[in-house]
Amino acid sequence: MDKSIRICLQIVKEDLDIINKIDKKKINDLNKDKAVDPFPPNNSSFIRNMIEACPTINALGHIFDRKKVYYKENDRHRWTNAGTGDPEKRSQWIQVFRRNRGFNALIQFMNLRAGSVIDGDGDNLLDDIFPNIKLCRDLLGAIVETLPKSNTNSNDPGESDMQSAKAQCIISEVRALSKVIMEHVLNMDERVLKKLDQTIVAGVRGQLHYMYKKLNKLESSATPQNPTSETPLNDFFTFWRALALKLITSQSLPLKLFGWNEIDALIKEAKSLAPPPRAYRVSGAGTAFVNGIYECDKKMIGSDGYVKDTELQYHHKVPDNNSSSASTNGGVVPADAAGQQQPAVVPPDNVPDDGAGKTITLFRCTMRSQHKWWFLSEADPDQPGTDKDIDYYQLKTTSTTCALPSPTGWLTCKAGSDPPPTLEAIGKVVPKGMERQTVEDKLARWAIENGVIELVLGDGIHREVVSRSGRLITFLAKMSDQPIVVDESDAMSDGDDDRYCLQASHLLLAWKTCINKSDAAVSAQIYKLLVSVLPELPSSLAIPLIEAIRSSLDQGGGEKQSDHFYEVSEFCCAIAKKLLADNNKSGSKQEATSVDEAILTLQWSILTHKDALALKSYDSIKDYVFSQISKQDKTTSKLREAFINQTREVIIKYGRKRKDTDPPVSVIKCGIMQ
Amino acid sequence: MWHYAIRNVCTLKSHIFLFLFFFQQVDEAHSLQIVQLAKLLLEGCSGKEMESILEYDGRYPEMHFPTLFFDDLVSYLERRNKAVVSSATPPVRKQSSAIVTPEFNHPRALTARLQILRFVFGLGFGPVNGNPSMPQMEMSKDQINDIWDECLQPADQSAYMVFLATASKGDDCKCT
Repeated sequence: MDKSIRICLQIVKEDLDIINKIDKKKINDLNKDKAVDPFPPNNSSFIRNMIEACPTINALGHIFDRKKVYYKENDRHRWTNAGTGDPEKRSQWIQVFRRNRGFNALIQFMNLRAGSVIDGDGDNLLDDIFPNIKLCRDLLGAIVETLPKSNTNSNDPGESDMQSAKAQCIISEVRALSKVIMEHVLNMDERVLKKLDQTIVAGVRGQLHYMYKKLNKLESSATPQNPTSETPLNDFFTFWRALALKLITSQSLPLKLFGWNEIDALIKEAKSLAPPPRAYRVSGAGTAFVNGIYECDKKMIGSDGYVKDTELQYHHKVPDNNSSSASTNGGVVPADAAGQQQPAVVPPDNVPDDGAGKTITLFRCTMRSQHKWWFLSEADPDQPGTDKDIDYYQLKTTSTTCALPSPTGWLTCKAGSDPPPTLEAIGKVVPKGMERQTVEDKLARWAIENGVIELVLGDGIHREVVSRSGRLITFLAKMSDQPIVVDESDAMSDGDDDRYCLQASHLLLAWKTCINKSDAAVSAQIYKLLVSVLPELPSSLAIPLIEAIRSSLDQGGGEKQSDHFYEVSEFCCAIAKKLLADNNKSGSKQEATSVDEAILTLQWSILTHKDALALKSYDSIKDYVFSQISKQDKTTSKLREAFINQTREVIIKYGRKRKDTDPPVSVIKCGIMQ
Repeated sequence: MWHYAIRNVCTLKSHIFLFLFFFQQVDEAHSLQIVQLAKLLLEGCSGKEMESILEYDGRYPEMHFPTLFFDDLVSYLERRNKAVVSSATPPVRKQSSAIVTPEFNHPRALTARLQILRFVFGLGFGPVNGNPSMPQMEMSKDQINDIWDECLQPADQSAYMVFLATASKGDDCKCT
């Protein structure tokens, strides 16, 4: 068996070599012809005659497909002995093919055949010439196994050079194969792409992703957060975005939906690669000296300026002459400035309880339950992360993958005092000038530059597409609310790229589409989308949207715009239901924000509309408004007063004209209830 | 014969005119809706806010909320007695399953208004939300008579009697 496979691999390699030689000769001939005739025939028969298929190439698919029964390992836990194969053999044969320079020949063969050529009947002429998509997946799965495990250097310099050269050779082969496959996929005609099995295309993309992650680790000392323009991972993300764009701009709905699924995966990956905040501002803690700026531990930052693949820690050094008032607000007194202040008068025998000189650490600790909790503690110098630490506050999470602390939800520990603090992220751990070069930023830039939102809400709008675009719109909305910057250099770089996030114009387009679309299903999907995005929107986006919606409502009772009452009421109903459900869950009693104010005003406009009683959703809207309007904060009181004045005006308008202006005469007390 | 026919046509015309006049003047459903919303808003007010709202200002008597509710009730009854009251449903442009067309229910409208009146005068009856300085508000005999005079239908009179029976203070009542 082993021998036959080795011979088979040899045959394939030799076939590829022969074809490559023929190709080379044909290209030389063509170049000679070109010298005579600068416009050679460029039709399908010419291309067919030019290049040939490799008759034995599909054998590689059979040998490299890891799912073949022959490679299945014995599973001791299973009662059957179905798997009797040897997975090691596959790896050996892959190595044999590589050593025979098979991959090299394959890459040369594929380079000339990448893309697709469609004839008049819509058939792809290169369909049987370029390896099919399933074979591409198997080839990628095979070549990735040839990659060295790490870039470890041997003690012997000669041997080290040889190993390094071999590794570089393999890496360049891997990159060349993946490049030609990416090129082929991106050049595929839509008709060809439509015929392909989407799970296999997604599989090819998955293999490429896995491969580039490995390459990124090998080729550079880059950390995962560092897919800069030079790193291999950047090439992959460029391909991934181009593939997604190709799919979502196609005419076929299944391809579009596939493209949107790819965008979802892209967003997920971009988020996982987002660099952590450079610092946290802790504020509002009862133990005043815990408040302040916590800077990322410099030991955690690599030479490339990105965070190493380790547990994050942030430190806050309480000034030696700490005054509680300085740190209560979460501010930081610069060391030199603090030095000029009058030293705090502390009796020499007393231990100061203002935390002066202490270093408070924000770090994550793995508990016995394997849950990862965050702590604000005075870490023990010898055994940090143990019971010897003095814990002030903690954040319990049930997730084992919670990489960053959440701003709220902190609890007070024994050493701390209520209330627990809130956290605010500051900046990103990236080298200077790279603040807007993260995968997230590039994705946002891609989406805006290619008008992806306009594609969703444009002429070819489809409810399935709208429903899938929610994640991207939420992502873009969050990009407009990036972590705050503290120093001037960051602030300068910020301003330039503000346009690569969700804009008010996008939301207004969504609303415009909503009111102009006769298809109720599409409109309902847009309401759902807008309502789901609304809590994530900064006030600079949410308020213009709500104002635009309100202006489309017929406020004055005129005929011109009254058509949109139904649409606005549907939107209001969707918001009311969502916010009521959210409030029930969280029991939020926070002060009303400007966005809450705008939402309440919009809802009130619906409630007081002359057609409102005809709405089925009237009660939902009323329930929401009156659950909010009874809050006793400043903003709500102001709104309540405005609403009461409005109702007073309408009652006066409908009521009789009074002649007697005297106050009521006391005769009968009829007020009993309260 | 002709004279009789012309007179009939004229009567019909005057009815149509009255109907149209009142239809354009007051949307009864909307009027009631606003009064009910005002009540809900008042329910959400704090004691201090309530005090300022219910305070009688001689300069702006028309803005006094309890008086407003009273006037609203009387004018509603007047409208109802004078002409065929508009019970037309609000015009809705886009009919869909999300929209229902409610029928205007007059007995319910009267009861709802009486309840609102009771609520708003009830607010001034004693300390509101522990606020002893809340002004006392009482309905005058004239006001009670005004409403009674407009309750021409037995059902309205019955509803009003129920209101008086439950809202008046019994032994404390002073009729002058």
